[in-house]
Amino acid sequence: MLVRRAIDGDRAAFAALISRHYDTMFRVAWKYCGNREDAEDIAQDVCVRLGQTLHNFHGQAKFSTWLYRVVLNATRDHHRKSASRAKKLEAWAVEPSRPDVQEPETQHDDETETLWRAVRKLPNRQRDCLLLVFGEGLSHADAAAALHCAEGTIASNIHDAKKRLKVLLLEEEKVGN
Amino acid sequence: MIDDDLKKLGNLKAPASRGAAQESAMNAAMDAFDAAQLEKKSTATQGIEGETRPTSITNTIWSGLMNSILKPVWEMKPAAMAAVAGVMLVPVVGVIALDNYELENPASFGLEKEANSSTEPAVVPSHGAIKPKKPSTENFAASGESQLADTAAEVSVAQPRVQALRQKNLGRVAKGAAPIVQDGVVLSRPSPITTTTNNERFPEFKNNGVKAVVTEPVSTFSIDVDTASYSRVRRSIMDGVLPRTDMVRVEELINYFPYSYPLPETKAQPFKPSVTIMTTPWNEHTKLMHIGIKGFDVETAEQPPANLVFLLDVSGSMSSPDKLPLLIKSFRLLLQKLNPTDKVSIVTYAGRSATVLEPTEASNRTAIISALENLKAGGSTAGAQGIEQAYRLAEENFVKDGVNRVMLATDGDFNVGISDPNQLKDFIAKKRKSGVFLSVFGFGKGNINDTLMQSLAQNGNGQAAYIDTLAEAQKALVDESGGTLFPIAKDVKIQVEFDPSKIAEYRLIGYETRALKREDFNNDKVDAGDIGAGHSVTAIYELRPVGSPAVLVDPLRYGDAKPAAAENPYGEVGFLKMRYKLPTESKSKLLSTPLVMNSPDEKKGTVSNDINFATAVAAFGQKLRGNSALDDMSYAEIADMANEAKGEDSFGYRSAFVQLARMAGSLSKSR
Repeated sequence: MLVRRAIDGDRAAFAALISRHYDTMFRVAWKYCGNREDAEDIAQDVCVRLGQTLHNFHGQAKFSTWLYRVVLNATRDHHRKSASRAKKLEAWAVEPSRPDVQEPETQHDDETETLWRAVRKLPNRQRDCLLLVFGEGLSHADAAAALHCAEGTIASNIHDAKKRLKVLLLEEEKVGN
Repeated sequence: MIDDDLKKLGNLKAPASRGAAQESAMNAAMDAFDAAQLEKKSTATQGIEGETRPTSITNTIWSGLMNSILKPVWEMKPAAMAAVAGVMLVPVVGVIALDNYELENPASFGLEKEANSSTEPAVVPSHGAIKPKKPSTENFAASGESQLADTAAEVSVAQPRVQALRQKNLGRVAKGAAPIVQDGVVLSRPSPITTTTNNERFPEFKNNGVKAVVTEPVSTFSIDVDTASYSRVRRSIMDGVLPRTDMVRVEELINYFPYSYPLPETKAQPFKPSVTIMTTPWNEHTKLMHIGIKGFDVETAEQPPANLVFLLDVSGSMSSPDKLPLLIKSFRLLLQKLNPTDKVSIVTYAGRSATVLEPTEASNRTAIISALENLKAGGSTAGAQGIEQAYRLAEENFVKDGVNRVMLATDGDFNVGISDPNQLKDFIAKKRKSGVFLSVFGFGKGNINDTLMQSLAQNGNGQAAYIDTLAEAQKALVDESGGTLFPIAKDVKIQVEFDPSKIAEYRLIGYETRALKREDFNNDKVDAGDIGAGHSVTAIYELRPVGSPAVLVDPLRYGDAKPAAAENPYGEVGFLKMRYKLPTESKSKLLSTPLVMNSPDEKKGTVSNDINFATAVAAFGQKLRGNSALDDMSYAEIADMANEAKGEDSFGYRSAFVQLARMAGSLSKSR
């Protein structure tokens, strides 16, 4: 098995593993942050982490599940880094920096876009749960394995997320109108 | 309603990933993977058999840490967070500086707590090589606070993607370091380069232990003509810090200095061993046995034709003055040693790998020099095929019965195109068999991968030297260019057998990383060190004669392995055998000589300056390594002994050593 061989130090197997899963890393990261630059950086960061820490994967979960966790953590770290960088820049900049203008690369219906914007505003664990279960189509059990929590926690997070989303979507509507 | 909405989440399609981004991620991943593999495996080089060289205990901590980092932060217990923060204390410094702004803002304190425990590990691995291998406090102590802040600021502004590719140092230039002054004399002006991070990797090894002749009568090792350790030790002391013990390889310190041991009668034999046994200066109850070897030098006129390919690292980090600019000056020096018809080519790697200079005769100095002068550091991308290009050029211009050599110069970026270290070693070893040898020259400080540098040079039948000043370049590339360029014997192995009726115990000083198995001696397939023209090599044993009060191990009560003590302790005490191959041959030749202890005892006053000087250097190296055998001999005594044995010292190397030993004495007191 590819993962096993890569853990044992097989270079080619590791390379194959990365190229097989790169798209997943990029896709999940993109859903999380919504722009290409950040998603590419996150995906590369995940690649480096895998190179360094693959031997920590002991097969207690499916590799794909484990990978989700690494991606989500990398995403969170990335987010935090850029947040603190932005704050720092803001604090020191004489003139406020202009926010980056993102050109949409994919066309989605407005509803989906609005919905994801709202999801990205959710607290970390609620957003992670929605992203894995609804965005990636994982079962509650797999999501629980990826997030290292009980299956019940997934359900209750989704429950909380729904309540919160209603409020957020209403706000979006107000802004939209 | 919301449930239907949630189903739409699945409709979002991310755009397709870009090939270039994937490629760059792949490169970064492979580098990280290789680095992890390199650390996992023992980096066995020639000489070491079955011995693992743990690179660092912090590896374990690190992987444990990564394990816990991989947990979502909100899953972590406060205690675990505290533990992580504690372990990460030193590397976290940079982040604290980086996140200073938020720390002052109580509203975001909750977020900050997370950042302290997890941001740093996230930052660090994304920089690849900046792993806290040795979170040595001295590195940080050596750098000013403002520098740290600088470094951190640099980290925070640079693009993470670029950083991941830059597996290189975060070194900063410390300006205005004070010159080292002693007795009113300026001994050295420290070069303006001080790095705040230290990614230097050195193989760790234990001092050779005392062996009982009864159980292990035979000692076998490969010679070592590398000198890199001495330059590093010197640089560290000049910077005001005693070197870490793993930087000190005693045999490399001893072999740094030229000695004029006797040459063989005819040139048919490339060298001959000379043996002296004397009373040990640091222990009156033991003897020191010197085995000195001096190779024939070549005159420029009879110098074999040379085909040299300079393979030069031009990665971004090479831009500091003690790297690429020094490298250019150094290789200019080398040109004057070449015959007009010798060929030189230049290939660069890191950034873009390119043939900067097609094979050019040394008589066309202007072309070679202008190619050198035009080199610029820059770029950082992996994937260059530099090494293959260099070897291809060397092979295309192969001179039969001449010197065909790739000369790799780097500050530690071995991203030469083959990134799997083992594959790289195999590649070099294969090329060695086809007659193209490799020498490795290290430049700069902070990112030197000593382990890899050594093993590459060993696999390529070459020398690893570390060049920190132009004077060092003069020594390695000009004064001793014969040794650097023209091997006169390869795979030189030494085997010593002791007479158990005369010698109870022995200890080989240095050569820890060069030990060979007894059966390897006669096995011509086993690679060993090489001797270049004019090289001198010294090996020193400390012997404990039978009946000496210094003997540590009690004799056995049972068994017939208990030889009676000889009536006369003098005379032949052992037998020396050496094997070597001529550079173009594959079958080894044998040299042998009895080891004779003279009566009365040889002492400091009766042996040559060379022997006394080598002894002083051996004492120095062992003391730096913290060997308790040297507790009773001070650095000042070592300096005095070396000073008395300076002899002619036409290049001034020995005087410089005396100063160095004195400085080490001052540093050890102030510690």
